[in-house]
Amino acid sequence: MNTDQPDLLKQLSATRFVEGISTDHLQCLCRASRLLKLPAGAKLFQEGSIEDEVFVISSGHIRLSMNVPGRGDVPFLTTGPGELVGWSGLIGDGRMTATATAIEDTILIAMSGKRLQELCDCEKELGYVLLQRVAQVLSQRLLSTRLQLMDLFSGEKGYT
Amino acid sequence: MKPAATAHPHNPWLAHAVRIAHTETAAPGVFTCDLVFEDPLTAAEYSFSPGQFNMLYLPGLGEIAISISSDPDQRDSISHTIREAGNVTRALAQLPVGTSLGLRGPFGSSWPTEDCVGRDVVLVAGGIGLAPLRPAVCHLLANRERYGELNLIIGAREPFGLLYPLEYDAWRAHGLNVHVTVDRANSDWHGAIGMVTNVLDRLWLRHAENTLLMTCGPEVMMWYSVQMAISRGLNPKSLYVSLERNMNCAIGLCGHCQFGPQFLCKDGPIFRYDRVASILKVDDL
Repeated sequence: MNTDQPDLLKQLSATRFVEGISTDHLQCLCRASRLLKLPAGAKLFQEGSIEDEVFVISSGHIRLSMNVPGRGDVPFLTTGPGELVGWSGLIGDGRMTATATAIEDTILIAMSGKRLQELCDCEKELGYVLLQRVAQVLSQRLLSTRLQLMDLFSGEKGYT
Repeated sequence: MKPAATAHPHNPWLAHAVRIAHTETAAPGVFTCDLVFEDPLTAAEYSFSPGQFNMLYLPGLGEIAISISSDPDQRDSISHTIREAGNVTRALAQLPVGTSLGLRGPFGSSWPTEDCVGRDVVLVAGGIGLAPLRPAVCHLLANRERYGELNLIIGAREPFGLLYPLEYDAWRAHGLNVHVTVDRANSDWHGAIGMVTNVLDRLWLRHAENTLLMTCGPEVMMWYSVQMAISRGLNPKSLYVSLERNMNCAIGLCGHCQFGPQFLCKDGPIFRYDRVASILKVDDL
């Protein structure tokens, strides 16, 4: 465990992302993690950059945006406590598909994607649980995107 | 003979004369219309419960069902927040202050505010769905000490489509946690972006099993809000949805709003989720 940040385990345990994961496995995760504090307005990562870390939000909110020529930075999602951002660092090639910015003072648990992958290879049970969690995050993200695409509020007539 | 305007207000066929006291734009294509009864006796007798609706009648054009959006304790006028969507609503939007029209009501079931006593409550509103929930908000805040944690999640297409934005601070000051999220925004928007379900997913719930949820908005949004609530541990018997179908008579006679075995105007529009769950996803119902 990172002894410079004694509350890392506490912060990580409190997030919904690791709910149900054993203390032993949480300690393994802590060994691959660090605590990161971002002030409001600070960028966590930039679209197109290659990052090794994947982040779980402990407190605060992160805005995801993409740069569109002619329109500038277009925000498309806000993520909050317990949510995962930067998953390309774990299951992709590490190239970020969005820019992540703290919209308030935010505390994150930054996990090394490389070390997590090694951990998952050694600890198959933890690897299974972790990838299941990542799949849940992606599934939820996909559903939200679908609902946003449906533009549900544009055809409303009113409610009685 | 007793004049029609002073007859008992609960005669469902009787259209009472009301006058437009005030109209204002609530969002693009949406306006709020405050109505006052012409007859003081009818005004004194009229009352409604949060979630109920009125039938507004414009002579020569037709009659429409519109939910009531004002505070149920407010006695001087009744507000309706209306989207311009058809002939009657478009005409109504153009009417000047002082114009008379007909009103029948109130009709329909109401939000279960009595069941909320001693419990935490989550309200999920999408778009103009905040209008029928606003009376519930007013009622909960007027009796704030009777309830536990109160959360209101408001979703809208864009920031300028949000209803009643000037009231959010006052609601917060009275003990309601207001969470706002929009589908799309530019970088000037400092609030949340994403669906109401995202906010519901990360909402801190003290006692999920003792939390009651009410939702109003597009049916797809309500469906996924309910699924999210169940996944968060809320009891399906503590979830309430407001359904929308074509209401005409408002008393369950014409059949236009039949929804399976129910008539939305008479048995609804507000239903406990578990009582309609089996028919919510039936095609063309």
